[in-house]
Amino acid sequence: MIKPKALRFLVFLIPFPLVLMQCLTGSKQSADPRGPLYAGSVSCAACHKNDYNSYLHTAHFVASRPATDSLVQGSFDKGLSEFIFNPHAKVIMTKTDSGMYQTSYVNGRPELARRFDVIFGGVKGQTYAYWLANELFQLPISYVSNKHSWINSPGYDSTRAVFERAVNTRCLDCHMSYAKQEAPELPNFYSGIEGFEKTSLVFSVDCERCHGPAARHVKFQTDNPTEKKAKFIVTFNSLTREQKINMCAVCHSGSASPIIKPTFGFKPGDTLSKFIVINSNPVNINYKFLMYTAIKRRYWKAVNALSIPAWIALPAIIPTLTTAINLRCMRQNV
Amino acid sequence: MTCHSKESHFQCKMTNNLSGTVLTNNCISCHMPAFPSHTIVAGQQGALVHTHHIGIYPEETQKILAYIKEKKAD
Repeated sequence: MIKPKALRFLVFLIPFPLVLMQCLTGSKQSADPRGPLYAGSVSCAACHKNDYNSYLHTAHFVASRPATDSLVQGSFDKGLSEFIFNPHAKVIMTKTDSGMYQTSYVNGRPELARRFDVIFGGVKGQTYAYWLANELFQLPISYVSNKHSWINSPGYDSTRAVFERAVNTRCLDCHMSYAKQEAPELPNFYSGIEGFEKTSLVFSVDCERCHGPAARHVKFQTDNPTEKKAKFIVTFNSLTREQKINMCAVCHSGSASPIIKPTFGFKPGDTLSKFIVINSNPVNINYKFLMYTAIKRRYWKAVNALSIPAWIALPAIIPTLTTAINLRCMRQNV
Repeated sequence: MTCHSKESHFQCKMTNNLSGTVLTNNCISCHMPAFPSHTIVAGQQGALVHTHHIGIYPEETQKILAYIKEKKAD
């Protein structure tokens, strides 16, 4: 039971967060959707021009971009713009005034057309996503560079054009720098469907994903141009080895681990296990097999070196190898 | 290469078979060989994707050696 006096005090407190919010967002609109702590890659380029220009050639930069004509690598030329599933089903890629589209055809009749809105990748290949209300979905056709051809998007049914795979935070976590979640607008039939605020997207894996929020650093160095020592930015060398590995492992450790919270907020020095569930990977058969051959080789080497007679070595091989592999799997968490 | 040196005893077994530059620039050709992908399929063939399970793949090494031999013969 709250006393009336305490209630009055609470009512009195309500304006405070509002006033604070005004201070943070009101007068000076923050340019970066991630908030006032972030400066955006363009501000980095002002001083670190060479680094920025070389970054433009990396896979991190092309991780995601808004779809424009020149960035789609697949061909829209007649004869090359079709992906044929079978004599009854195909998808045609077209350019129109309102954008580029993938249109599925069944028995020659157009069924569904969706626009290229977001491009993912550009080194080994590209895949594309379209907006439907405030939700993102993967388009049926992707592109693979070393074959110079359109392909069925990885994992999609190979007999028909599929438009249904939802692009969620787990995908964007490593292909973008930020996407603000909001309630999905489409009627949803599954749990875990996410909507995104379209204007909140920060494309690419940008500078601040790995170097951390830099607004304070930018402000300090701009205000003090003679100061050449970097302030308010974490240098990679100052991190411990584990912190360095954590930083890269945010994305470069496989995609099987579910996330606890979006990793957009992961900063250098943070602990990865607070963001993604570590060690949840299922046992990889290929890897086990490789380990088996390697350990078997060592086993026979040891047998020869210790001149163990064959009547012991042969029956002992299975239990020894199994134990060794299991121990190793346990240690390496596979 | 700083870890896989002669002193560490984890040196590449091909050290005496191949030139130094080939060895230092092409680690992944043998140790992260490109296999056809099961999910990224163009036509009937899987696109070649380098495995991330770094290891010793004797068959792949043989293929690379054969390839180098062929190149030299040309």
